[in-house]
Amino acid sequence: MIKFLNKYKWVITGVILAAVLLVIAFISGGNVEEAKKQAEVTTAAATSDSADTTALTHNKIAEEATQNSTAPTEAASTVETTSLNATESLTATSAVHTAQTTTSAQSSAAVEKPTEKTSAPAAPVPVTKPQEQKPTEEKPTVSAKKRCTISISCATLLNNIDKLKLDDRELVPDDGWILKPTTVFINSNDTVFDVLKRVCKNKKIHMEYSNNPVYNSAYIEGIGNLYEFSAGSNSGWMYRVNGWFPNYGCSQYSLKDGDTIEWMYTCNLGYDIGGSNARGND
Amino acid sequence: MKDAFSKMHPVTNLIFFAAVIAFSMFLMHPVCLMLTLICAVLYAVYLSGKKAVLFGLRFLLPTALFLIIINPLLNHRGVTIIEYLPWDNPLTLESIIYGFAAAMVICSAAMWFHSLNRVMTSDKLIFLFGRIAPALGMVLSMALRFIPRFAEQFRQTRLAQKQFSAEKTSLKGRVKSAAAVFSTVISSSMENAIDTSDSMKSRGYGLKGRTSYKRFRFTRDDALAVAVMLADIAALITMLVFGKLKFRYFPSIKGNIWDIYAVLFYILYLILLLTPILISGKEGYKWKRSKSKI
Repeated sequence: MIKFLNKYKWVITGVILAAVLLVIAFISGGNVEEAKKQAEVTTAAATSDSADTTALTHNKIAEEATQNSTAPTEAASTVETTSLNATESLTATSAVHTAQTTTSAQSSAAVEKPTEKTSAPAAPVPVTKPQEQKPTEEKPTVSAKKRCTISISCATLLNNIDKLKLDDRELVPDDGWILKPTTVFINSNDTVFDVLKRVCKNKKIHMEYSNNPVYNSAYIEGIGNLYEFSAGSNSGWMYRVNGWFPNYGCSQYSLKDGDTIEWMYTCNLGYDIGGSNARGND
Repeated sequence: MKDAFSKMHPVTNLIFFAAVIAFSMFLMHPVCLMLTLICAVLYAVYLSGKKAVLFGLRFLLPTALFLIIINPLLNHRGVTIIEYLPWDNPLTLESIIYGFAAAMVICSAAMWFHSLNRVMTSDKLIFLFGRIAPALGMVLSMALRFIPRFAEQFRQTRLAQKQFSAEKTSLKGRVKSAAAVFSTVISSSMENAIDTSDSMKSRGYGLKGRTSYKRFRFTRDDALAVAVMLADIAALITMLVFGKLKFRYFPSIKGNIWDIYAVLFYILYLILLLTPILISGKEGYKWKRSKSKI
């Protein structure tokens, strides 16, 4: 046996090394991160799951309503009332005895979260949602009530169309809107990335991302087949919330009720859309 | 070997394979890919029969399947979204089709190399490069011959080992004996390489005035074939440079498939691809006719 080991030690080391590399690649590829997040969500909000799903279906209805109507706020408010009515019957029975358990579960999650964040020292830590939540107000219906507005625009490309490859020019809409401002319902603890992901899935908008373990966040590589570096080496996607460009990743930004998310394409590191501060080193 | 193209001058063979392999690898137009794959398989089967089919089924089919599956999982470009993958990136029609195209490129290139191995024997390579770049010619001929030679040696060594002791039936035993044979063949092939280079050196390989063992004559048929092929290649490259044949996969699939230039391109490309089969067919026809006269 020892002789065998001696003889093939390089082969064995090679195989182990390859396996380790594959595992590292798998983890840094973001698959495990995602699964962990999923698990956390399910354990934290297992009891309020039914309320969440109804909220999600109402999200869709709300989006369709806003798309069809010319006055988005009016439509949203009407849908809101209907969603309240619909969930009332459900929450009336379940909310009372689940509220206690949810709050305890989420407060434990709130304790866990900061320790997880500190493990990535390079990541700038945003104001975390769990710290500002008040357990007394917590009810499952709250998650259905929260809204935000999201838009995706590549209007900067209209002026820089010559920077784009010929093949990609057909991708730019005439008015620059890939997604016009749309009001959607969000769940508690939703991040900017979660909302973008869900909206793109529902509207069949192309969106590709990769997980960046250094910044502990998702990185948006391309929306609507317009990718980073599509219009020169300084181009890519940036986001701002309520007019401010955060200097951290979009899956670290927890949303509040009424936030306005704007995804914008830049051709010059954010200088052309007023987001140069997000580079951080200025 | 009954193939007439293999008996032609090495320069003719070299021009054909260089052009065909280059076009197979760089032309991503789907019709061209299909043409080149069909012709590559045809010629490989014509040259080596059942062996080529086995090679295709055992090595190329799994590789092609792997590429077809892996490409849409990693490549998310394309405007036609079919579904979102479990990790929330899109699965697009364009990436699936591109996977098929990439598989076709790999398969046809491998098939052309399979034929190249049969046609460009080491004496031809030495003849071609022995004067201009002796070291390159030597390395090329040894490298191209390495895998088939290694496999053959492995088979023979294993056969010899079997005579000494009955092969064990258990998986572990079989792996063990195979490993022993493998190490033997490795050391013997290394020794062989040193022997080859020593022997070539002692025979004055690479010195001035040294002639080739085998005489290759550049006949009129060779001149005709080279002229036709070069004209054909020049025409194809001109059409490509002027953008008469266009195809792209991302972000949306677009290209000319059935206009006049495209059809002209296919015909010229097909002539280039079928050169060896046409030459062999012509020789066969000649032989048949002369036989019936006697």
